[in-house]
Amino acid sequence: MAETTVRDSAATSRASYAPLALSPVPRWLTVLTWLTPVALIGAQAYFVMASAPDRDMGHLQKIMYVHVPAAWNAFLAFLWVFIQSVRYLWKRDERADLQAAAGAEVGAVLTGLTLLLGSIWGRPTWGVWWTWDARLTSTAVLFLVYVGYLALRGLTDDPERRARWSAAVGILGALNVPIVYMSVKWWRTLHQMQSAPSTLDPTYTMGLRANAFAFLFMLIVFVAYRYRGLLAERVMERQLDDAALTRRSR
Amino acid sequence: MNGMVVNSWPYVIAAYAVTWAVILGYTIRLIQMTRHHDASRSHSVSNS
Repeated sequence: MAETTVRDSAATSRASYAPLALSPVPRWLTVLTWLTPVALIGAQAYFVMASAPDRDMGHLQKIMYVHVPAAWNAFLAFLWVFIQSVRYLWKRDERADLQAAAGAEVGAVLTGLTLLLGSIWGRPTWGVWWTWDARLTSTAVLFLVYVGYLALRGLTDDPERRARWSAAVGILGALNVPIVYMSVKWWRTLHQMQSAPSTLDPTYTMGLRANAFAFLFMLIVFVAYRYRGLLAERVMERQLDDAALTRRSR
Repeated sequence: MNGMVVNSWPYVIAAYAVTWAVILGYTIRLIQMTRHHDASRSHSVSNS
């Protein structure tokens, strides 16, 4: 694949208008792209079949292998948004803004999945699809914040303003993550304590770890490809801007 | 917990079906997006 590079014109010498380049897909990403479905299918199939039913929950326990990894990796995605948003505000590097946007989109998808899986688990366990429990409500707020983040990006065509607004929302939204995580300790409502290797029966910890890593691979692959897509869009936007500037200067 | 769930398999199957629907749906979106960008780039290269 040929490398596409767009350099800024003299008329647009803002810091965020540093050169952007879309390089070929790196080897590690190709390897991880093929490894991810193998890890996901392998970990889910093995542990769903092999794990014994829980004394209280029965086979519903198997939902934990997707619900908890989806939640953890959504948190990681929002941590990525936080880091990249801070990096953007500090360095004014447009690639950091695009990385944050990629993380926010994948994080929102994983949070939506977490809510859906929690609902499917909650119906037979609690008798309701939804309740205004502290964990559920704070997770729904987190989801809405990042849906709002993505909507906000569509509100302006100015890339610098879009990046600045997004960074502010990205940082504020990520501050909600510790609230979601601690909600089961701070407000003891319906949701049980965090499912983690330290709080689980040892029978289930290996399955949870394996599935969490499979989801982590998926998160990295999704964010990397989404970032490449956003970068390609931005490179094309700049080509159009440069072409318009050239026409105007003639 | 509200006691042992008698038939939990339909919920387990629904959970995994939803998980894979989301994973595959998002994967398809990324593939379509990548193809679109590749096509646009080759178009702009051939025009230049």
